[in-house]
Amino acid sequence: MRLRREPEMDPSTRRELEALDAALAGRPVDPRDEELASLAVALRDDRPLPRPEFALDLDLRARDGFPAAETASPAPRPKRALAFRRRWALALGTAASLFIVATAVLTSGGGDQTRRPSPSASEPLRDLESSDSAPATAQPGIAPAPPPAGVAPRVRDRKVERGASLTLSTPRDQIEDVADGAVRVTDRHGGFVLSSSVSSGEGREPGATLDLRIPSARLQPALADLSELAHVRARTQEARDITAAFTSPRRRLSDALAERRGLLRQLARAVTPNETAAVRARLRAVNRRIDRSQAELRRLRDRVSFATVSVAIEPGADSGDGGGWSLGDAADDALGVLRALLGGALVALAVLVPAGLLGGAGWLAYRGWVRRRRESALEM
Amino acid sequence: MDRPLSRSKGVKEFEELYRASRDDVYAYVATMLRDRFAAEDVTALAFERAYRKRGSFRPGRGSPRAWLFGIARNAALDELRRRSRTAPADGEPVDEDAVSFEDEAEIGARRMAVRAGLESLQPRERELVALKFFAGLSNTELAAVLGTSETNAATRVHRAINKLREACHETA
Repeated sequence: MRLRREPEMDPSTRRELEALDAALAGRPVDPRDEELASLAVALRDDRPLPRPEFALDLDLRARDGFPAAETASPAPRPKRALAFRRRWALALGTAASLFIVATAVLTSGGGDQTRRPSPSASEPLRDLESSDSAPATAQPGIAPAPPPAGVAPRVRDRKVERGASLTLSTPRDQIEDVADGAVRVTDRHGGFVLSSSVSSGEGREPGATLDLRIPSARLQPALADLSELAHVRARTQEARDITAAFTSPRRRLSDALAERRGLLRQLARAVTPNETAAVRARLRAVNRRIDRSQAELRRLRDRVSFATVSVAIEPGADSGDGGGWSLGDAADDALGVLRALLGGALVALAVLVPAGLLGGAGWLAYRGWVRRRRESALEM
Repeated sequence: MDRPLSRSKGVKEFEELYRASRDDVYAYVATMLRDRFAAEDVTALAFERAYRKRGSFRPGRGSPRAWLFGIARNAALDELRRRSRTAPADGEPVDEDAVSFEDEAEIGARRMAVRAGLESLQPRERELVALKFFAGLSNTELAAVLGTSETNAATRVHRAINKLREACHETA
């Protein structure tokens, strides 16, 4: 589509142009245009003709399909032009590589819940790792996870409660084995089983649920081990900052301790039995408050030190194949792949469309520049 | 949608194109370069390039002749540019007599006037004359080769031929 309208051609110009074409085609022309027609014919008849030797040589080469292509070139491509093209090719290649890498990184960033944990997956949670997160009692034979490197001091003082839930899928006849395996994993990582329930399926839906407490510092390796026990259907993790929850009981404990010190001093100074009895009664009340505050702080520390892991073990869709890859798994995987592909395509489109537009504009500009550069030869 | 020609069909059609256009391409290139031997080399180069690129020809973008002359034009312009850069350094002699194949004595007055007029034209005008009258391109093909509209191409041809006519009158 042309945006600019072509100006109408002058009738005499049109007539003369038609006369030129008629003369070249050997048709009669208007007497007014005879001079122009004879000029056209003279030009055509006086055109340069190739030497017979050259014509013959070219005919032979044409017959053979121009076997030595470019050998007769009178204008070997200048090195500068070659270097220029190489630079262009290099730039385009680099841009394409960067684009592919960026797309790969972006598309691999997403994921579904059934993905096996990777070491880096826990990094954001590790940043919130509390200094109190080590188990309250040292577990023999268990190496505590190294403290996170490069964590700012104020972050280290945070108290973080962590939790995870895992849904495993396994054949019906292996549910108990998997549940036992979960208990073993819990023991191995210094945790304990808070509650467990295993149903074999007689009159009830087969399955198992376990509530585990695992030292927060061992949560990631423990989850990795638990995920190895069976096919992971779902896995979620959460981290909650409960630093503020410590403030109130600490203050109450501190006040109570100070009050007790004062009461003890009063008790030492008490002389009458009545005075002594009154101070003792107040001491008992303060001691109860101290116990309550300490218990509350212990519970909070436990919440920080031990992560709660809920494990649900469900029978797989195809429980008779010994835990292999079932049709349901295949459908899930296919859906996941499709989702990832669509996401990747969307990201690629978001990049490709503007890049294509820019590239197209650049290409047009480059073509225009090449054309102008070539045609500059006609100005010399 | 435009589709490239099949391989065997492409070769056959290229042979026909070659036979129909060999002398036309040479005439155009020789007029542009005004050097017989350079014109031969560039003509051969243009056909070689066209042969290798025959698969890229799209019928919807113009006739095969327009496509071929586009390639020939690029080759000729590249050669002109190369010569403009290297001529002073190489001291390469320019064949001013390239177009005159016959002895001047045998050339009629009319022809001499036309040739002199042609020499007086600007390179762009001379190119238009060469494409139109030496190579025999239609206005549509001319427009395709020059990358402009048919009306514009025709108007430019008209302007060039009138200038040539005036130059011939002056010479006469």
